[in-house]
Amino acid sequence: MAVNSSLLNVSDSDFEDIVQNLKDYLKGQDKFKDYDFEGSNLSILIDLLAYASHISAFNTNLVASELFLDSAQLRKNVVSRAKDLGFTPASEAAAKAKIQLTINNVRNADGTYPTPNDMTLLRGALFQTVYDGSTLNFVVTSSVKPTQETDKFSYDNIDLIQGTYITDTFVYDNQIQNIKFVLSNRRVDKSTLRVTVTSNGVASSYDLSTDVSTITTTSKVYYTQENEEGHIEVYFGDGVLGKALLDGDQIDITYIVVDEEHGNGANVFYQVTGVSGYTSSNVITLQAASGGGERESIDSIKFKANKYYTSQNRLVTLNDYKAKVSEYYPNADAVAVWGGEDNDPPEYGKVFLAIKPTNSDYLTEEEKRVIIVNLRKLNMITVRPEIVDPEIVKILISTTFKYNPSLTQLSKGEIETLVTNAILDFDSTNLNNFDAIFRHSKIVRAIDDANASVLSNITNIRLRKQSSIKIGENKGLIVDFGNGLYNPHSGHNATAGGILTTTGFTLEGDAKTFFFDDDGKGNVRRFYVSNSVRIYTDNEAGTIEYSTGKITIDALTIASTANANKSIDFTVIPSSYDIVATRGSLIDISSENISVKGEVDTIASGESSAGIGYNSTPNTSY
Amino acid sequence: MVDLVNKAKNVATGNIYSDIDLFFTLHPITKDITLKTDAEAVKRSVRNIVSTNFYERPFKPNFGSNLRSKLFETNDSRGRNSLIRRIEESISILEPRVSNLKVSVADADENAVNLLITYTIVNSTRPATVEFKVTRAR
Repeated sequence: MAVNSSLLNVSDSDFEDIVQNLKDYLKGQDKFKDYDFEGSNLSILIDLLAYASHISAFNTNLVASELFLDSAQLRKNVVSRAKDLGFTPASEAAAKAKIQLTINNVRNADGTYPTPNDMTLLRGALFQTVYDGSTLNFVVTSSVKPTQETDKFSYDNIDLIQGTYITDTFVYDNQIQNIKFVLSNRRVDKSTLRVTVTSNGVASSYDLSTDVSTITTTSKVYYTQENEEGHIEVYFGDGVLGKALLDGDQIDITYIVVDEEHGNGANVFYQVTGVSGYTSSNVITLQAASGGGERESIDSIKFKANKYYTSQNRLVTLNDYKAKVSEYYPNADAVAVWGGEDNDPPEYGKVFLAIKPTNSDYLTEEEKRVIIVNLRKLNMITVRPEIVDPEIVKILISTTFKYNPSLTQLSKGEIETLVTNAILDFDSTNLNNFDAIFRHSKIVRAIDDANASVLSNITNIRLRKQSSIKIGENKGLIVDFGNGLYNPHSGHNATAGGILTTTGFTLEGDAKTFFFDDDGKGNVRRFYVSNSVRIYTDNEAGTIEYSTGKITIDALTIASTANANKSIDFTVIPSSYDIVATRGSLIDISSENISVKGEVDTIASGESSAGIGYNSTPNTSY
Repeated sequence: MVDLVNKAKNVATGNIYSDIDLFFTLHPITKDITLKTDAEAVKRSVRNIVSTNFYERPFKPNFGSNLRSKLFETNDSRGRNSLIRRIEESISILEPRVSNLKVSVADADENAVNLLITYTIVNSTRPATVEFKVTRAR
């Protein structure tokens, strides 16, 4: 049975390829001729061989893939590979809120008043909120002692956290090697862990180890990791890196179990657990609930782990800041970092960070403070990190599309809804990040693809940015769009107000409603409207740089604004329909300002011939 | 999934078929494994096809006659014809070396079916038969 072994291809791993390779190989001999008949005995053997080879190849591939961070698919292996790099994935995070509580008419049965100690609001006291139709539980994170004014007790700055407090108790057994204590719940907010070890009747609080270089043989620290089932494991030092536990020590681990539904945005709370029996209270929300989120996804772990390793627990490069912010604030949807030298105006010695939370546009002041405190521990002395709110440039979309009614059974209104949804999908897919670019041709294509009956569209855009106003203060304004503005020639559209429109405002001592526009020559003008005529009161109220998109308004004292949130909306026409987000700005399609209009295509529907009567949409219409 | 559509097969040389013996009996003289050749090889193949149920062979889910699914049919002409058709179909698709295929139920009693499969091997006039008894295991 002389065969040419070079005919045997060993590189294939699919079943059918292996079968074919074996058959090709057997062609080189003449003893067993029935290899190519499906029913033959030899075919059974070939199938068995191929099956075994295929399973073996598959297993090898699987094992090799799971060995590397880039190719691992199973969460437990991704977590394990990330652990090699010193990266611990973020756990679920519970939403946090801050409230103020006042309890009135507090009086004991004998007519005396209780003391503030009697009226202490204990840790774990329950508050509730109804949000999105669900009742959510929030608990007090630490006991708060009130201030008393006779029968009125006031509690300031009460921190609430969503979820339920649970305590797991373990006993340390030194007979068990490498003992780890697995928390009984999977949805644990790791930042709420409180570990207490009672040794020889003395209870001590242990802290999470964050920096191994500061740990001594007596440091009371614990370590955490995620196990194969996704539960958090707690373990302790070995007597070298942290204090070792003794046989029989009792370990109490208290933590918050995170609810499935996050209460981000909830801002109305009511008291459930009474303070010494008193529940008649007045709750004021100081800070709405925010920060609730799920545990870190596999993709996120893969993305962050190597960056975390590169940053080496110090903040030098911009990527170090990005990696650390993601660690300190896992709820960040997008993070932009730029040096002070790149800021406008430059501020040397600073690093600016803009962070967009997952469920809202801006961080709360408390969240900013916590992040800054953490960053300052690791950054260089001469550099100060500063968190700025992301500036949101809204894109206003106006589209007119032509459609062929014979290609669809949908009504015009239904197609318009499909187009609107296509625009919103485009927004959520492409624009929810810093460094994003709005590509006009892509949205034009998305609109065309919204329905088979849509033949073409003309889509025009405007940019809008909101500027907050300090009422009653004599201050100037700077509104930077970060994108060039439309100005084909000096004095463009000067008589009709240039390319700038704004919402109204009043000035101190003047009841008239004023607006801004531009003269096409770089000047911003202030005017009011009388009998539909613009009466200009200041032809040089500020400047507008068409090449950079920066609008500067000279100092003025504004008494009120048409916008209820004390702001002025600036709307401009950009020079390019591709819009880029610069520095800490986010670009976002304003869902409330999408204008969609469908028109029957008279040529496609046969209503007009030779193009006569066809109505084209001008590209300047808005 | 493999394509089990009947295709013309190219056999290397001559008209002799040769297959391995799954009983792996030893040749008394050469001490090598014995072969099944020609009519005997085809017979083994037919037997393999008839006795294999769907999903038994890895990655070839529709290989075989799947007689198991027919064993609980009623013992009437309709049930028997269905059984015969299933066997004829599978052999004609999977075994290109046989022609003039005829399957008959020789006997059906005591929860068992005796099948008689008659055919001629391509390029041969001599008929061959395979007797097959199908019975429930429990």
